[in-house]
Amino acid sequence: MRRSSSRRLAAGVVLVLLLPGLVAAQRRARGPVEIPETPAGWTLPRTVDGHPDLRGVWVEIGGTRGGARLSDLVIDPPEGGIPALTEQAQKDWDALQQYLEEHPADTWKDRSLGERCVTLGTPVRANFNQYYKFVQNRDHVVIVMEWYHEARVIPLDGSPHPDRRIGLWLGDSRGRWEGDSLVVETANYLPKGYAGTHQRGTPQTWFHSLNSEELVVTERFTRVGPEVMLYEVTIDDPPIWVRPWTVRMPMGKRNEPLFEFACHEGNYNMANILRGARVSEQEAAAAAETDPE
Amino acid sequence: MRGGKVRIRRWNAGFSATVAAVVTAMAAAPVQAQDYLAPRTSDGEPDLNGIWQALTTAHWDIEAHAARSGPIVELGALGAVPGGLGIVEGSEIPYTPAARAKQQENLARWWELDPAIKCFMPGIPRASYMPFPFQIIQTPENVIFAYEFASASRIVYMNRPDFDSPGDNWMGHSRGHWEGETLVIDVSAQVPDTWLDSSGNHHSGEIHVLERYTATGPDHLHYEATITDPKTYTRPWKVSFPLYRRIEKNMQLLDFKCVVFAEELMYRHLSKGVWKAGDPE
Repeated sequence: MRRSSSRRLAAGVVLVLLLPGLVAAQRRARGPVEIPETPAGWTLPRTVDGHPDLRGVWVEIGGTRGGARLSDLVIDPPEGGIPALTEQAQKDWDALQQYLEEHPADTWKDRSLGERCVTLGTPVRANFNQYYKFVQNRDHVVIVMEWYHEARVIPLDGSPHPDRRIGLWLGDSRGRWEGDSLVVETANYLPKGYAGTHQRGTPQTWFHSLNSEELVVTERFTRVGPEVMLYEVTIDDPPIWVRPWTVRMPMGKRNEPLFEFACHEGNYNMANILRGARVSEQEAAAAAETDPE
Repeated sequence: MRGGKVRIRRWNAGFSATVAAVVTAMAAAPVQAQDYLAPRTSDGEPDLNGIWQALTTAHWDIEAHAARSGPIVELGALGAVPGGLGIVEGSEIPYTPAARAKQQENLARWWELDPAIKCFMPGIPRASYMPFPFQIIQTPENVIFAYEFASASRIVYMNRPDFDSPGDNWMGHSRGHWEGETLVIDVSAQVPDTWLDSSGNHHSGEIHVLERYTATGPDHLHYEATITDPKTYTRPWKVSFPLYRRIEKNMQLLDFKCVVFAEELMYRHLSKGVWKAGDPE
């Protein structure tokens, strides 16, 4: 049953999964991005528990860093490009764009979840140089995300998602090994638009995205070389997208530590944006008073 | 130091009745950390994996304290501060006189000043006794601590004593190693901005915390932390308390992204229709 609240789309984040390049992808698809070849003689390292060893720091290189075009990331639909929004989602999105155009900073709620220091969301983003530290043992894989200091703890024990009423900013992730891949299914998203599945419109609204609470994200991590991990993610959200779609990109290994990213603790930005908006309003009002026109 | 079971195991089997009596007597006494050998991980280390939580009132006040009314009249009984025996060994924090005076000032305005009210990351040791669960995920190279409160997390670098922090941190820079059954974590490079509780107990940027996590049973850890900060305290001092495993079958961390609960408090005065020219920042 589709709950009516799932149609409530809210303004959200941030620096969304697939930054502006994917907008271009809707216009011209170029086929899948090239994945670096697995070096001859390389064998997949395994942990003491026999699982593929994904440990280490990885960065998404789906953008220009990897020499790939962002427009090449969508592998399904096969012709490329992001599918259309449903009629309702398009209407809601347009209304949201319109609202934000007219109310850029009435309150903190008009700003992106990134500016608010809430989260970058899941899944892995493209072209943002986000560092991900993978830590794994027999029962869990943890993906520590440098931005917003979030640790995604992914159980591997086959346990189910919690009650649907428990909505989570990052969703609830459950993982399993399928051959040499780690497959992670994430559900229980809050319908707040942080999941990074969409952005469009003016630069001002790029950083907002949308999703419903029916969103299911399926990620597949496959190490294909000493320095390369293949990342595939499928977005399935029937109230938002007319069909599921899948993105593929490589992630590269980095021999660097994560730094602590204390975003909220030092968020002078938010106060300054709001104060700036208030001062602008005051100046505009004063100008209107002195100018008879 | 290895006591209890290890030594007992080497005793002649003929002493088993005595052994049983000793073990029973010991079980009645406060549990000693070294009496219990934890199960081993795949890598052969004591297995501390799991979701843990403190059951103290230390997040209100780490020193011994009587129950007292809370600052929000409307919250009545539910907003009051429960009493607590304290987690400070020797009961009192050995502040310098100036630092004790500062604590008293903090206490008088704690609901304006307590950084946790703004959802700032709590630092160490406070994260260990916030009234929220946290999860330990353990590997030989890194131990991850994922805290539900504020989505705080930290990466413990095992056996890397030379790896200095690249900067100061709200959750510190954690370097760990095993001492027998005990996970020892050296926490350095913390910012001075965190508090130790909601009673204004504080520290400077020179704080250094040495944590020790030891399993005392399948579902209990003994936690202790030695706190050194010559700018604030006259000598090193220690907190200790048990951590309890959250044994619910379906237990998991949820998110408590409290930024969204603190924004109105922090930014409302700057909102349209509320802010007026000349308002204080």
